[in-house]
Amino acid sequence: MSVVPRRDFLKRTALAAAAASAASLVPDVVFGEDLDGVGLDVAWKKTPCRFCGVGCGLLVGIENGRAVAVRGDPDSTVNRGLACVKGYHSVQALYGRDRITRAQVRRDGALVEVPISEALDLVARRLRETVDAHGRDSVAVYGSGQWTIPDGYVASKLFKGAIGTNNVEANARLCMASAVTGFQTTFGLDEPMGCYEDIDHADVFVLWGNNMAEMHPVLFSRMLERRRQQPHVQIVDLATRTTRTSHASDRSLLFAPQADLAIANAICHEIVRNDWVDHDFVEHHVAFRKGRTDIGYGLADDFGFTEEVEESEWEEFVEFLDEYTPERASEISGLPAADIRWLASLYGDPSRRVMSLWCMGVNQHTRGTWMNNLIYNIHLLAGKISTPGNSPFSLTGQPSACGTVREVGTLTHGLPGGRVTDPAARQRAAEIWGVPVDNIPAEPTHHTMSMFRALDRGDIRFMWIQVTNPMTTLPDLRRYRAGAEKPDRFLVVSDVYPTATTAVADVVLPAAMWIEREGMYGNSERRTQHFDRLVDPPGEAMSDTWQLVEVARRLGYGDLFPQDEEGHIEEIWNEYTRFHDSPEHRMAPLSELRARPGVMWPFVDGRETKWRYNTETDPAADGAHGAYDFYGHADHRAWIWLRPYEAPPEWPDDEYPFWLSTGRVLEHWHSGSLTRRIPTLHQAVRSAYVELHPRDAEALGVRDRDRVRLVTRRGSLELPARIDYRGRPARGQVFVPFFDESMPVNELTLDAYCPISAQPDYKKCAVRVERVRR
Amino acid sequence: MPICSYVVIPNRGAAASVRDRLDAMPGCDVAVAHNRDVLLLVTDTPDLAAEVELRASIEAMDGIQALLLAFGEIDPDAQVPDLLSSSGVGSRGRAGRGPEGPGAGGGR
Repeated sequence: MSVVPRRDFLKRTALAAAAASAASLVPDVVFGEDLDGVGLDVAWKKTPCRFCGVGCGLLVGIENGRAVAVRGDPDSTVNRGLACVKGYHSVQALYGRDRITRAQVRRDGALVEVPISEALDLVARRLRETVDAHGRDSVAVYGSGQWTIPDGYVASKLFKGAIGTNNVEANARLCMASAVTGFQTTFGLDEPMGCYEDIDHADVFVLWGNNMAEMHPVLFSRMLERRRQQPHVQIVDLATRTTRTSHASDRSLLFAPQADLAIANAICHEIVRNDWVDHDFVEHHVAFRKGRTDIGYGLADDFGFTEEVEESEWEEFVEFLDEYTPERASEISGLPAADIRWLASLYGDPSRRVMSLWCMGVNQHTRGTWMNNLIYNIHLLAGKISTPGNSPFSLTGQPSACGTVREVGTLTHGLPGGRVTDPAARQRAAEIWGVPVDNIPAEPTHHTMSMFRALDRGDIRFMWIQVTNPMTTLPDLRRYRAGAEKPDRFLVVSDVYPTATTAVADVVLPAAMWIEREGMYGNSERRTQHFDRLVDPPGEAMSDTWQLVEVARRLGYGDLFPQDEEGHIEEIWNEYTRFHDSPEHRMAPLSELRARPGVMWPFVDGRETKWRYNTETDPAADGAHGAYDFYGHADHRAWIWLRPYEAPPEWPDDEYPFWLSTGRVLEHWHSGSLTRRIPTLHQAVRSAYVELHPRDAEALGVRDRDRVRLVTRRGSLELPARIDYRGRPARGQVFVPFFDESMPVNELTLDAYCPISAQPDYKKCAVRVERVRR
Repeated sequence: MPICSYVVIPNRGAAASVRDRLDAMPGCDVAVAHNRDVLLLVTDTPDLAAEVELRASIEAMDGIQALLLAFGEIDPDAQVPDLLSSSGVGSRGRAGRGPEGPGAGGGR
């Protein structure tokens, strides 16, 4: 390899990044230069990207112990050498000037630095004292889909197995819970049946409320490439807001918030009415179920919900669909009936392979579980599932929401590979963990919203928060911040930079970030990805895994955890994978993970499983059930659910006449605590803003960049208006990104949630827009 | 000493003119697509102010439909935003609480 000066290397990297960005916009664009960004004399090491759930493989250049460069890993089947703007800049997040390098404890109201051993002593002491004084359910751990798999595993083992509380939750509750309950109710098992390779086979892509061009840009570029190679391919953007995705799609269809429920049912109505049903598939592989309706929104602290599942049948399902004519759905959604019929014809055409993709638009929804069910209903009716290109595909938002939260089970009801309510799952956990089975409580305690309400009430007194920033991301934020600030609460926060959450902490622990420690993530397509420690963490920063082990030791549980930091990740992985030692979920050994950019589970006899439930491709599927075996349910069938349209809890009215929706932008990750410290990304989008439709802006007398005030029943916020900047909301709607903690839009949002998944709806509440006169 | 890159989408028929004008600007290197009207621009400027000024002048140029940032290496010591002081988060902390918790000294 020739060696080039660092500045020339940076220019080459910059050129390669621009070429990759251009390719995501114009897939067939060809440049003549060598744009691969190689040439510097650095050691290139593999890792998954630290940001979204796509799980792009990256190669990080290490020079003199410092991560200096990034390029897409050409060996990764996920991204094939591409990366997005966040991926290219990811290593810069390691080196912000205000990186937390030492532990801090609050004294006389201020955080002061102390040796980390002293802080860990304090954490253990306060945890023990709280349990002794208030019971084991008075302590909690709140983690993240950015936890590595070992982080989540050790947290679950410590809190559920050793301390004996199910107060274990993660921020994936806020982004993926409806996907989980959707999978579990329809298929009996979590996570997608297909994989990203479906993109290379599909003829139609229907994006349900999913701005992939900004949120999953590398997968979106794969989709554009598929269309470039096969011009018959169509991309349909079905959304409430016009975005970069809309502009790149063949059709942009706008609908009113919450009306996706009616549209999905109307598509099923049309598939049935036109007899586009795959009757053989339905007869042999589908059963029908119905549950409770008028199920509420979880707004009260004492809200409770228990599903009541009843068997149903084809005739009842057809009768249920009667009211969902395209015309009725059009009245609810504003989408023309002809467009609904056209969508149904795409799904109904047996010659087209259809992929549906969704993420927060469907999941952050007070009927999120139902919406997941309804998309599966469409695919099951048409028999378009579990074969290449026929794929209902739930995308994830975080790098290890699947790997850590869903597979390890770091939610109140979860255990690795099971549920706390299942005696067999508790018994297995107790055996593998080496704890008495009675240690593991049989009932879930608090989901995330309930947990922070319990913190506010005082039922929870001690909370340890790792790798997430709830004081920016919780809805109806003022209540939960006030709860966290109450004087007899004790908050421990492990993070890499100061955030709105460290600002309310009693102890801040400096965390080793991403490639400063060894770990694994699990992405959207069941792919587990290992990364080594490539650089040293700064100061006394320590991995979240090892922080938990150190506290466990101080509590007297040291024998349950690795004794030596050297090799502890391998030890944890070998123990964890015992939970998944079956053809349905077997994980790859660490040697395979170390050798490859990632491995999909089930990994059986040295082979990945690309399409689950298909008896030709899934080693767990039994051919005795025919071409497909939906083995998650005892009847070996997937369930079509009768799920109606129901209104959201808050509607625009005379006082609050607009809909407020929130979300991300391409350049920033979640609450911005990492990406706002990357100078280029910060310069690209320096602050939050509110998007207005041009005609709404005109009616309000607001011009681009004027300041406006947003007012909801929960608070108000001033921020600049942007008109036709990044996206264009429909008339009567506004959109605000949540990355900017100086403009915390979640002070305005509503903490209503899906009663089945307990996932809040950040996409719909009523808001007033006022022009700020100076 | 920022180094940044951009994707430049010129207006229809303006690619050659935009390329020539960008090429003539100090600190700018341009790569041209073979088959589409798409340009890649790499900038090398002495400081952030110069980069911002250069970007503004490019944005004001006739014939450019879109200028999209793809990459940037900017001296972090000079440019990382002071997030906490700008947001007021740091001042919102938990005055009056100590590590020993309620009733155990400190300025409660």
